[in-house]
Amino acid sequence: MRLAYRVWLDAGGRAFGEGPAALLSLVQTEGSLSRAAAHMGMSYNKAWRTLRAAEERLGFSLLERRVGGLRGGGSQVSPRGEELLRRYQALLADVDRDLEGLFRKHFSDWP
Amino acid sequence: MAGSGDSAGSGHRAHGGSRSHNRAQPAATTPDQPVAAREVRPAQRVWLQEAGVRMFGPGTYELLWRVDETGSLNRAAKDMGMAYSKAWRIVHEVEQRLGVGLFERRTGGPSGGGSRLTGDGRLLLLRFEAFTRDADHVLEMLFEWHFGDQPYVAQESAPAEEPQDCSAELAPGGVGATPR
Repeated sequence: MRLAYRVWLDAGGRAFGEGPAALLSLVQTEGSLSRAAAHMGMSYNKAWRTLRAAEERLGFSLLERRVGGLRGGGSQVSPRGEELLRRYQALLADVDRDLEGLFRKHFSDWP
Repeated sequence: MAGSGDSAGSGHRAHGGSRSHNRAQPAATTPDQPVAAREVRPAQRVWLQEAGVRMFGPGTYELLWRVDETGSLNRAAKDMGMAYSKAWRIVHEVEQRLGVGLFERRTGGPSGGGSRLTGDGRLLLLRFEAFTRDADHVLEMLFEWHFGDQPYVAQESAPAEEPQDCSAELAPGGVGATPR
């Protein structure tokens, strides 16, 4: 028997969890939301709506549009988005460690 | 997006060809300030999984308690707005995967019998309950640690009963000071 869990931030509804975090993280490396979405096998439209919904719940922007350049710009993660992502990932790493420990404590001798 | 999506674009197109490499344009229409930030809280959901299948979570937990309470899987399923066949499959799956019987049928008696949790079934529920309680507590603490200083997190409400007597203790020469 193993443990499975999901952790998210709630702000009057699901505001930020693993999906948006994965998208933001990919935007950081890919430099555009459409490439980030493609990496996740997600339509651009869905990715956009996902982050948009998160922004509305959180009350601040996660993405900023970058304009100009040869390739005509793209997206990057806003400073507050980066901060949020960093903290969320750190939270998740700690949760993972502690929950596994708790799980063993309660279930290691099961049944 | 919130400020950077549809509306913000137009402002930047003016800079269109400026090759502003390092001046990557933030959506300046949204100052990096909290905008009516809502309170953000942590949330989680935990499941037990066996062979990669989530087979026991909060929903299962509730269903099993309700069966024990009502003595009837049919009744419990109905109360949860679930088809009987689905409820049956859930119970069956947990029993199969864990290799324990969850319910025993009692017959007769003044209450007319019905399904009751076995000892193993009861133990499973109690353990899951204790585990989720600990897990929620841990999440609260870790969230406070990682996010407690963020503007969108409600500050820990000041203790409702502001310690009135303590002021004396905290004041220099308060409680510790011996009366002269």
